[in-house]
Amino acid sequence: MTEKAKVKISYFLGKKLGEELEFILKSDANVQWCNRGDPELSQLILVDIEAMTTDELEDILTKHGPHVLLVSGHDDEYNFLNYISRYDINHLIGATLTTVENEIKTNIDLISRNKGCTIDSIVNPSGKFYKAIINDSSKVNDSLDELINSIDIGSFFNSPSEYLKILGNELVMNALYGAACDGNGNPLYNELDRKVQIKLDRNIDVCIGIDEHVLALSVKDAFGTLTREVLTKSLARSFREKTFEEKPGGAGLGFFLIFSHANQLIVNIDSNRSTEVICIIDRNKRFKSYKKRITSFHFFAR
Amino acid sequence: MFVFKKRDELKIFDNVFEPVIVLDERGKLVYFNQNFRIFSQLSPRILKKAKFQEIVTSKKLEIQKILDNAFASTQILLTEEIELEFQSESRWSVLRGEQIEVLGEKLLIVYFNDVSVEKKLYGKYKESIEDLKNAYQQILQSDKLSTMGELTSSISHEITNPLTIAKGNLEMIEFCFKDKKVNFEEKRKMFQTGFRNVRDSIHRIQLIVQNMRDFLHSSEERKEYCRLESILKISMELVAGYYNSSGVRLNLKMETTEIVVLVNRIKIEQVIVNLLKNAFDAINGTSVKNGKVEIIVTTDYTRDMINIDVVDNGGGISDKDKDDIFDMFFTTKNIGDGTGLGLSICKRIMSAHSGTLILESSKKGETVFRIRIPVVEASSYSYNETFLKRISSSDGKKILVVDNEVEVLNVMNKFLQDSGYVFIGSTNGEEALRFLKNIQVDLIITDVEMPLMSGEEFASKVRSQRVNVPLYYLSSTKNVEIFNKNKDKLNIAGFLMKPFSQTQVLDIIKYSLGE
Amino acid sequence: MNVKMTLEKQIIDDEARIFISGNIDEDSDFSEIMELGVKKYVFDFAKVTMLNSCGIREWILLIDKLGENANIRYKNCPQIVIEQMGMVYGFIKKEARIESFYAPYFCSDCDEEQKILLEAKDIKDQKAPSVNCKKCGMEMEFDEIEEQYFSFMKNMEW
Repeated sequence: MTEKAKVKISYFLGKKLGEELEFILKSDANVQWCNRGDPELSQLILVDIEAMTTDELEDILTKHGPHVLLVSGHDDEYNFLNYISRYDINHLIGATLTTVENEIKTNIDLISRNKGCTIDSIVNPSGKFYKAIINDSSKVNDSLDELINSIDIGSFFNSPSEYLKILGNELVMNALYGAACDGNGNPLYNELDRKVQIKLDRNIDVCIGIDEHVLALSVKDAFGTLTREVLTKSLARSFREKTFEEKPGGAGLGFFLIFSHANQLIVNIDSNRSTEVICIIDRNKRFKSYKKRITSFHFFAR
Repeated sequence: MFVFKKRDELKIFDNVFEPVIVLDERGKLVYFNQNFRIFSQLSPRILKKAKFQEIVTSKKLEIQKILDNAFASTQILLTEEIELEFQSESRWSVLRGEQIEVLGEKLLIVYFNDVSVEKKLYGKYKESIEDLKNAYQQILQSDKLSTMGELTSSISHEITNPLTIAKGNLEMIEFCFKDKKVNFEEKRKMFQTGFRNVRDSIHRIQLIVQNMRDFLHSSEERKEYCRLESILKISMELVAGYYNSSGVRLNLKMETTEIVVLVNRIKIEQVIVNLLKNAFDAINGTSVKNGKVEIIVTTDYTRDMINIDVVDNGGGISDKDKDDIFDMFFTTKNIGDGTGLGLSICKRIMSAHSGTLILESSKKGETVFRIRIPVVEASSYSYNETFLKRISSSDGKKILVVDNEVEVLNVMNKFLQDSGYVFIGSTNGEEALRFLKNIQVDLIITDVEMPLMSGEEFASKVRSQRVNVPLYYLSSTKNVEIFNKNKDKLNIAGFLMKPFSQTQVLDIIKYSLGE
Repeated sequence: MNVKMTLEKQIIDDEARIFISGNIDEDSDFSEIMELGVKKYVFDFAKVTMLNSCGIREWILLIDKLGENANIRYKNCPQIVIEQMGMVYGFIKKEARIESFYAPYFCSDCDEEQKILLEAKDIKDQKAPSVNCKKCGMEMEFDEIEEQYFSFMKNMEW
């Protein structure tokens, strides 16, 4: 029986993060860790911006972007405009010490197994799941309210439900109006006034998962038409202009609000099949901790 | 401050009727009189050694704190009624204390005004009132039950009619299904008609049962704005059964159907039903042909009252009985045929509505019972002011609301009454203007769209009557132009748009009245 | 549960007071506000349950339509609305300012968060005022990032 091959990961960590991750650097049996190893020879590169000069960072992100797990302590706007939209990186982890270790472990596992990230990957099987199906734009708020009101959130700051409502609303509306395309890949309803009611022939699946660590909201469509380019273009414009976009259809601020209110934003695309967007809120009794958390971004595409 | 040269001088309080004690700064009893000993039911041996805060406690006040405050200030100490708990005794008392000086030492003299007896009497009085209230409610209910018992045959007759109609139509529908000769289009029309008739019949039965239930079970005390026509019609429906089966005609004549009253609807129905029953009994079983009972409603503007006359063409009431008919337990019926409570209860109900019930006239061929109720403005003023005085000793600010919709008046009444204002409702500007001549109000809110006189016209007349209180419009947003037009000309303070909440209404009032 | 936006309006003297309930979103119709024809507006947000991206757009367009000279006040703004106002330009402009809003405070003795209504005039140098717990009386900690939460005040002229 052949031994499962170890994943080779080079890491470039500053002192603080290095200490924080000391345990996983030593303990994971499936990973071969190389401190400042050659990125050319590594499947994944864990980069702490504190450990890099500007030139080094530029070099590694340009050449190896898709293989990089970037850990950054900068604010959301900076991270998005300077890293996510500028380079072809798919994983940015907010350097919040309480959560970074877990997040790195989870994503290394998913990436190395070439598995997209679904809500089941995030929430423990022992956690609780609540589901709803929406395909009619006139029923979005009522369905989301019913779903959110049925949840037992447990010990949290006051109140994550308000954020779930807005995250859910933005994600579902995006899916309803933005996902459906014609045979040539042209969006069908994207430019439609959002007051106009539509009803799709494919369902949008909404799922909320809760365990002792996280509250996760997943919205999954059955179209799979979202691309990284569309997503980053919208976000970049929002971060730069900070106002609505003068165009027909939506206001162009949806993803901006989602990015700002979620602790982690995960996009999982199975091209022409499905798109699942997951927003995670870390379990916290302190609102300040929730707000301080730098948003992580993960993009998986098949 | 009283100054005593020696402690012995405190003995002047020995013969004082009130319990009296003197305390030093630590709370030790330096002196107590015999009446205090009786008051506290504690032996002198205990009192001589104890500190005051050790022998008495109170749930409401901290004794030590009272003493500290009393010694800290030269002001007279005065408490409200508090319950003092001694070892084996609990007493209600008002404490009065002041500093005195004895041999250069600062002491506190405390007088006890024992109100324990008064408290007990008050408690017993309250219990008695509650018992009386309960007894009264039981009497009212018993009268209702008795009335309902008498109405049973009428009601069962009433229900039989629509049941018969429903049954007939269902048979017709069944026939339609089976008959192959009738074509599709004809069948469709017959089904539609049949179903409609069945539905209407069931609805009618539901209404009758609902009316019965409300009549029997409702003991709500609160008054609300109601259309008088609706109250009279429901009352007539409750008795329609035996009027119809006996061929006695029952009519309603109203000068206008727009009369609104502030009443307890169920109680007024109780009065009307009682009078209609009596009128029926006066005709039925006599030789009167073409028996007829009429309800005639008129308004007496000079006295601000509404008259509701129940007129029958029965045998009349004998002179002998005329003086006694409103007495409790008086009845002309056989034993078991009535409690004799009806008219006496009706009279009390009308009295509770600031109205009256009298036998206006009676002769062979015509008997008239007359109910008088105040018009809605006067009614609301007296009802709300009395209600307010019951809950507070101060007079409330008077708010006049003019709106032809009773639902709006009821909602406003609830909002304002709960907040301590005297609410005066009026359904039309003309009546409200007459009312304003006699009563000064503090604020006016008027609907803009009203049938007899618009809000704009009303506001104009209010200002020409030199009534300069804040005046607000109440309407939907589409009338905001009227507001903008009149704002300066008629000094309209603002515009409350429908829909509105209690917070908004109170906001406006507090702002306008400078509260 | 119907969370469609409703407006309760009143005009007192020259000032329109508008109480907004429900969700401010793509379906929100503010045309009734345009018809009021006043120069001062006070918007009470206490019962607003959600403000989504389309709602933000509708709101900013309303503020634009009310005109440069309209005097606008926002009262009783929920926390999530304040955050949105801080993130997106257009809510606060010349003559439009926030008068009162809710902010999170945390009492470590009671181990719970309370939403406290603050007046904008009490915020000096973007520092949260000191507030005591309603239950135990101890001083509470402001549970947001001051610089971020009060960022909307930079645009307000005093």
